[in-house]
Amino acid sequence: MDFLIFQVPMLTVQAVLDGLLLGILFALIAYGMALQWGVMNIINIAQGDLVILGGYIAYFMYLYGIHPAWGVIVSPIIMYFVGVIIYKLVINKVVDRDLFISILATFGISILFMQLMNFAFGADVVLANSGYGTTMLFDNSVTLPNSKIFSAFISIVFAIGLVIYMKKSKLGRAIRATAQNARAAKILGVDTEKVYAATFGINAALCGVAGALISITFTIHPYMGLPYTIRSFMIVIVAGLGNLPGVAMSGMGLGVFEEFADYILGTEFRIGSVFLLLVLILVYRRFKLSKKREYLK
Amino acid sequence: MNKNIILYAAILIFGIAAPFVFPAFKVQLSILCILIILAITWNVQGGEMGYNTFGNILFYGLGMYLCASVQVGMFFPLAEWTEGGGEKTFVHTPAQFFQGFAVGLAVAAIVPAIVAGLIGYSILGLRGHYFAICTLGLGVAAGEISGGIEIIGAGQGFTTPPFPKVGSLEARGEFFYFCSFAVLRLIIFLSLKIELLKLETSSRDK
Repeated sequence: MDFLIFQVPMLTVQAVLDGLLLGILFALIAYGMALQWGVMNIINIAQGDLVILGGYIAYFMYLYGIHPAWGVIVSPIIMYFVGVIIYKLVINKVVDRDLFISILATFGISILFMQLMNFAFGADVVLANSGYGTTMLFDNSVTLPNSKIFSAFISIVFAIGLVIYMKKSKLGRAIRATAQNARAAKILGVDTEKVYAATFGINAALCGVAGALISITFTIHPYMGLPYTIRSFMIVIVAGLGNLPGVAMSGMGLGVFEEFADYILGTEFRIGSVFLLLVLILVYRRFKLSKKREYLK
Repeated sequence: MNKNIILYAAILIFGIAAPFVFPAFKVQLSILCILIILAITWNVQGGEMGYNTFGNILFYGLGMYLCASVQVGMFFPLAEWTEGGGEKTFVHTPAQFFQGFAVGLAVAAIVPAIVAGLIGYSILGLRGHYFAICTLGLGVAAGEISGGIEIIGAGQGFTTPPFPKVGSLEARGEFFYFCSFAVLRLIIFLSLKIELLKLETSSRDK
């Protein structure tokens, strides 16, 4: 094996740390997807585009001289309302329908968002410079940008905050009740329509936070959304719906996989390897289940 | 049935006359034919079989790259062609162009079918939305991966051989239009066969 990563052991540490920090961010996006999939039975292909839109909010704050880290607070607030508007315009019409209809509808929203962002913000790859500097570890042989540590920390804070909110608050309990049985929740006086709108809004807000963090840590581009959707879908199907520790673990696993794929296959195959991994996971699970005469539900 | 025959005859006549009636729109008409082909084939898979796919672009792209690669690779070194400016260094004679194109078309029909067979064996067991997302993943993965392969031009793309100087200036548009139209006719014929087959099977089952 003449790959650089196997010749320099420190690169392995670098890849693992980078991957873990990146994976926490993926897990946050996947958490939003799992939430709305579980509550509304909708797979949102526009998930990644909501992330990128959230990223542009932080980027524009940066352009106007506000530190982009404030985007972590501003972006979810704006994105919450964007989410509610999308729900009112499109999603409420597909919520009780077949899952494939929701995929088609959100695929349409995704393409629309991509084109609108390309039209409004231009096709340049941009980033919001946080100026956080870097941390050097192990005799300067491992470099970690502080922005990555910051984004992982904020992701964890938001994820824990949401878990507590879902457990303790009235709306959180209503969301969980609707997820368990929408009809029973309705009979007991829960306004499921509002719950759905709030769920979609919360998901969009999570995407907003993740987007702001991505614009600080990495780069954003109007067409970069789909890989984030695929990653979060993959994380959710590997972890299983409603399994939060699983989402965090598989998110970090995916992050590490990506970093290694980057070093071994080359950056040009990084995204391709993520998509292929999705196909491989689905095929593996299909063959595993077909032995028991079952299929993926 | 009679109505149908009149309709198909009308389409055939329109198809043959179209490039002469609308000479300025030959490229658009060719694309129209190709889009109809894509829609019919999607209907066979998504509509008739119930496998909603987002990944047909994989086979479409495979066909494009295979046809162009064969057309170039049969006569010239492919790597040098795609390195940049290959179409200026190497020039196809008309015979080479059409020979390469014919072989390329055949390869582009056979190889994706084999690939589809292999992929289908693994993923046709997936149901509903899992199949949809899996094919979406396959389609985008194919695009991303082909953007990293040097010999087919990577992200820079692949310049296909320019049309040789035969016939009038209109020859290129007419040639590609009639190719697309012929394939469209073939696909309509095949899809009707599938319909008939389905009717026969269903009447036999009763």
